[in-house]
Amino acid sequence: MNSRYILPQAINFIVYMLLQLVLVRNLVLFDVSFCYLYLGFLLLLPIEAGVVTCMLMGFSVGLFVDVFYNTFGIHAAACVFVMYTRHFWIKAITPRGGYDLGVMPIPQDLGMRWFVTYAFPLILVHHALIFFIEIGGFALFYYTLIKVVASTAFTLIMVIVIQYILQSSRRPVL
Amino acid sequence: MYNLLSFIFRYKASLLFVFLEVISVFFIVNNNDYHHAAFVNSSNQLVASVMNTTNSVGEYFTLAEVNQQLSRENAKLHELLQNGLLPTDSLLHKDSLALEALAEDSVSILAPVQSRRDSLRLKQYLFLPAKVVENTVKRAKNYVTIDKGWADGIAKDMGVICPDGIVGKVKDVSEHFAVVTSLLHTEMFISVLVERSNTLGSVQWNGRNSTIANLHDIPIHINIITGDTIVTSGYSGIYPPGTMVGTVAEVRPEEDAAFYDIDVDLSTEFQELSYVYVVKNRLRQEKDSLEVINFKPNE
Repeated sequence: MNSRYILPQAINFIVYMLLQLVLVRNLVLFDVSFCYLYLGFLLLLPIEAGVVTCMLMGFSVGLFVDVFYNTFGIHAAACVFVMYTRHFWIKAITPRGGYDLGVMPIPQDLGMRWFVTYAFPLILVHHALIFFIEIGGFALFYYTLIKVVASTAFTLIMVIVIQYILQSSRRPVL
Repeated sequence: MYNLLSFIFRYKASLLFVFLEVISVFFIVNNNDYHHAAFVNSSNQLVASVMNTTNSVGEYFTLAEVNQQLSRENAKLHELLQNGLLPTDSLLHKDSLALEALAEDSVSILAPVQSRRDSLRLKQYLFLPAKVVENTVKRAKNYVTIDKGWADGIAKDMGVICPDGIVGKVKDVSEHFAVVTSLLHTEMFISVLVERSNTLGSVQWNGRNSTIANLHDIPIHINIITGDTIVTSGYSGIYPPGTMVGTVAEVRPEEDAAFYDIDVDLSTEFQELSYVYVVKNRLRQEKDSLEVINFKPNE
């Protein structure tokens, strides 16, 4: 990863972690919809970031969140899996003409349609892993499935909203 | 050697992926067995203080409920005091029948021993008050973080109760904080008695509703009705016997099954947990070591 990414990514990390751990940690809508906003940080890592870097990031971010959630290992496992698949998923959904150099995986750069195609399956997989590992199997399958889908929608919307807020606040500076 | 290195380099992503996943799975599997793992969960000093700070805002909104709960408990204790029926007294009364019988025969020999034992029995359970720092009810495995740690005498596997009923069991302890496995944890079993018939069963949460748990192991020949009181058995030595767990909400006799399928309405309001008591059983070690000696398999 290029060194010019480090500062904005560091700021992103702090913002997403603060939001996740202070604001939405215990926010649950309709008893089933959880928000794992921190995933936004991992999804918005630069496209050219190497898969190894991404996985190591995913692992450390996951463990960090785990400590707060008393679920040591679950978020780490899900994040590493998502970061590994992200690498192939980004390749699979390359727009015509390929990615421009230095492009970020955000709606402003690649369009909302591309972003939802990119983020939705990854968030879904992440949440499915988290909820099914947490309950330890497929007991309460449909209830957990509802949790997964509702939380995916919630997280996706929050990621997009927060991303727009961060981006618009940053634009004049850049 | 060159081949090996080029292989590792070529598949470094996949190898790292497998490696990190194996580590994560190892963490997940061992999460419950870690001893002194206080740095990897919310009993961690830093983590708990962050939670404490962020939750202190919400605290003011629950003050009214906390006040009500405390005054209810005060009233209950007053009543017991007026009638001379402190719980420890009645307990003592129950189990001192045998002692009395024993004492009649051998007063002179046993008196000093017995009186010392009695005073210990009277204060067998100590209750250490603690404030809830963090509490969740909507996950499949919920934990409560409290603001007392080993510096205050809290140790792993102590029971935690609140004025309304039982809360859970201490999982990990740091210097000033502790993580409690809530009753709302799908792998938590609590040994209970149906008070009316003294039938032994076990209560386990089903992972959905924070006010309902399942009662297992009640055989169908036992007469059980809606509204029956469920209390802790105290056999494990974690909770004082007779601590309220809940009342029977629904009984469903399963066909061709030897046991009932029972829903219990939990008496503890987990949503509004604010102050709890950690139970210290002073005879726990004695009981456990005795049982270990007796249950040792023959070699």
